[in-house]
Amino acid sequence: MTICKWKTIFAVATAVLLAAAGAWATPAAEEGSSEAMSPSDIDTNPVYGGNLTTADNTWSSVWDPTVLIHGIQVVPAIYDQLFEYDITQGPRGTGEWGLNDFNWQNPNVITFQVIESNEVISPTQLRWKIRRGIHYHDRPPANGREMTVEDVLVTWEHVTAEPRSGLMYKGDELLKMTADPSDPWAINVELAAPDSLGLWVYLTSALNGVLPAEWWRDDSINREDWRNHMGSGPFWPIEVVEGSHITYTRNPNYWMEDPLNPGNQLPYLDTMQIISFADGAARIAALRSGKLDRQVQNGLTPTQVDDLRRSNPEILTNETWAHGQYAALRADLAPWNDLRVRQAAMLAVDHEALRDFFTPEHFHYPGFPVKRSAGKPQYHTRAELNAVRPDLARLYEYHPDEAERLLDEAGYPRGEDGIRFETSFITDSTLDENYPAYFAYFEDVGIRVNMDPIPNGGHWGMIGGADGPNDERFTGLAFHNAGGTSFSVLATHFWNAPYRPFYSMGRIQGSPEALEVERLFEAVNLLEANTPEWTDALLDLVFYWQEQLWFLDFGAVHEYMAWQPWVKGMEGMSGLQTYQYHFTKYFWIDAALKKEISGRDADE
Amino acid sequence: MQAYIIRRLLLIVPTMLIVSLIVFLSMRLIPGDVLDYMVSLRYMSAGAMEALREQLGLNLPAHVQYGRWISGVFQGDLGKTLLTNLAVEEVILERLPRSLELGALSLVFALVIALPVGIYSGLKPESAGDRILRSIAIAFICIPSFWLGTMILVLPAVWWRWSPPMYWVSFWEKPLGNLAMFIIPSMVLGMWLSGVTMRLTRTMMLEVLRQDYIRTAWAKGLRERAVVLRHALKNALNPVLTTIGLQLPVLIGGAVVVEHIFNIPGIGSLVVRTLEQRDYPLLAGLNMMMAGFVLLVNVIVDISYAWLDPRIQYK
Repeated sequence: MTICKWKTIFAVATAVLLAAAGAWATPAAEEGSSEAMSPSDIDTNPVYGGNLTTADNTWSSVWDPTVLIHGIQVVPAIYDQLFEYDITQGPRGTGEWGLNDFNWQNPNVITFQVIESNEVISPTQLRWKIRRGIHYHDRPPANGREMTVEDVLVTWEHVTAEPRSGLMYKGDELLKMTADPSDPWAINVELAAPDSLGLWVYLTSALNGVLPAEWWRDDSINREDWRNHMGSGPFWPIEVVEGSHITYTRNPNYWMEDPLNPGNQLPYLDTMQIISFADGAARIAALRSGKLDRQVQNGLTPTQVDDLRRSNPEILTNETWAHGQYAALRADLAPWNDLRVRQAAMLAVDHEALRDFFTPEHFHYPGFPVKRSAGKPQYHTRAELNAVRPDLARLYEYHPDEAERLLDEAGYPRGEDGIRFETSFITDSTLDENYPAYFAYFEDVGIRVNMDPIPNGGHWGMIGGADGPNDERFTGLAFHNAGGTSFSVLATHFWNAPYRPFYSMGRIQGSPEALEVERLFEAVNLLEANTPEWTDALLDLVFYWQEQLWFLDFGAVHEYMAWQPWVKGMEGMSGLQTYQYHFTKYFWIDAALKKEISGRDADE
Repeated sequence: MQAYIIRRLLLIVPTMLIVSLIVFLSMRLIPGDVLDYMVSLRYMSAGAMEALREQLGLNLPAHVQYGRWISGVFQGDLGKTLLTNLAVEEVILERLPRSLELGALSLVFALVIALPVGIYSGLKPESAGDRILRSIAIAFICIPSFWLGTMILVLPAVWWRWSPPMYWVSFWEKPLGNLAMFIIPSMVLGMWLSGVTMRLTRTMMLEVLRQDYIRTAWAKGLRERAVVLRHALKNALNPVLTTIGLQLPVLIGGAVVVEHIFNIPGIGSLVVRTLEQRDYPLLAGLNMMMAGFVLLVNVIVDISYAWLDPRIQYK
């Protein structure tokens, strides 16, 4: 065979391959203009129909609701929660809150769902009224019947009894629910202790669904089989391919109307798919091609989001959360038991330089007294906070000489090798890359840190499972700060005590500082949440916490979510809860825009 | 022959026992357990962790856990997954057909390209076509599947806004959608095997074509087709078949990466996830299945020698 023949064969083969590729290929997208995406003229006119594809890698494949109800992401679409976040306060409503604030520790944005009203009788007594007219899916065993008080009580009983549910409190440890004998639609709630701060944190993450009482009582139902799941939520699953995707269909009898468009029954979407991508490149490719409508978890890294913005400027992005890089200190042991040493550690680091290094756009200090939700009732601008507590602001300034002085005063002189003391540090090996930059600054003032990155599961097992590490002096938490506020993180630190080691890891119990924290904490909890007095008390608590530096704040690197411009109803939405709760019931697809940009139909 | 097959099959049992012991012990050497994974997902108090550890039997000494597990295996019960409490065999069987489909398509892709090209190169050594094809074969061997797979994801998405299908669909429900999902991953996975087989087929063809009996066949005036296919190829295929058999485990290893990249919910991606979750029974079941597969393939390859070359007789 001659070379000429080979050339012909090669050319034909190439043509065939290209033709095949062309047949599979999505038509090339046109770049959308920002004018076409103006939320003001499109987002107020929801339309029904379409399919939403969402990438979510946190799918754990556990379907037992006693485990799931705690907050795995794929199920909230099936259920209704006791409470949810009030989108009427968000950008599409009054604009009172940015949707960055829709985080699970923020009680200000909570509204009622299964619970219609909350009556505060005393700091430890509440009375909830159950909403009438919530109906279960029209499938066995409930067959579309109305939800009752009994369903809530039986669900709560089962969820709090299940060890795998991972709830911090079991049984009646925190709160006890009983039926109100005087009203068949009311529940009396008794708290073990006043807890206005933690109650909402707990409830919004503890009871994300209410199943029918008969479902719980029927032992023949296999709870791990997704086909058996039912609730009263806006969707239910019609197909689950383990490790690949879940397809949901619309509940045609969903009880809820769109609060922003009264008269519109929710949800708007016909179907919804959660796709589990194992590979980051595959997720981004699917976004770029327009096959994927929304990328939630795992979020995009700063590098990925920068690349995406360059190649596909029409795709919208916002922070999902941030990987907070904390160091939890053993504040009961030398040298970290001395506040001067902790202050020296903060002052030794050039926070501004590091922030610039990590690019300011993708990085912030959660503990820094600049509230990212500046302008909100209980938050202060940087200028205001600097005026109130300049000493706290100064901790984020670079003063190595002062750090050296404080260490000398604390009794840690430099040795012959220039080192004052050595300390160990464990952290999650997936989130450890930025710490060495901080520890280089530490070494400059004579503090040597020996890092020990350990696998994610093992790390959480050490810090989250039992009493925290026993012999480590210095532990990187790599805690996920949910994007919006520093209050949220600090509230969690406090509220988890003493059941979680965020607080106890410092081993400060019994010290005068711990007693002061407990006093301030109790002052917050005795007040009704979200009142001006409560806000002031919370600020006192936060300031004292920051002042004591039981945690060193090493900043947080952002993670991003991304969505196509044709996904409507979620402008500005961000934060952990945008996927953990079923906000998707408010979303709709702008079919014309989708077709124009991606060449795909609304239901694809 | 029958006795040989039975003996080979019986030998699988002790081999599997040794494999099971190694797998079981090596998993315990990985730091952490499934409870650590659970804690990384949700709150769990120390008391709850201990209760659950006891409930799952993870508090027992390793040899007791092994004894319980292996006695279950002998009774056909691979146990339940620690995380989801599902039967291990059910979980594996749900995913196995997808990996087999990927493996089979990769093999088909590899052989459809490698055999004709290898034969052609063997028949026309040092021709321009042979040189080009040999270069392509080397390229197929050299390009790592993870790199090629990633490039296929990244570049078309940036250049043409095209990406492969996002999720798996059943062949029986959507045959075209299913093939669209598998075609690129199977090409990526089969490329390496194709390159190796292509080169080996060429070499073996060259060697066989020099044999006396081939010269005799030519001298008898047989047609080229008969000489090549009936006399040369059949004899050249013996070592090729051995190599393909030996490479199948490599194909499984490659499937782990390719399934991950192309989002195929098969055995490979399950192995990766299960390792992360430290779900011991599932991981042990997966390893046993893969070890059994490799042993079985080797037996089949050995048996096939006799079919390809009647001179070989097993006693």
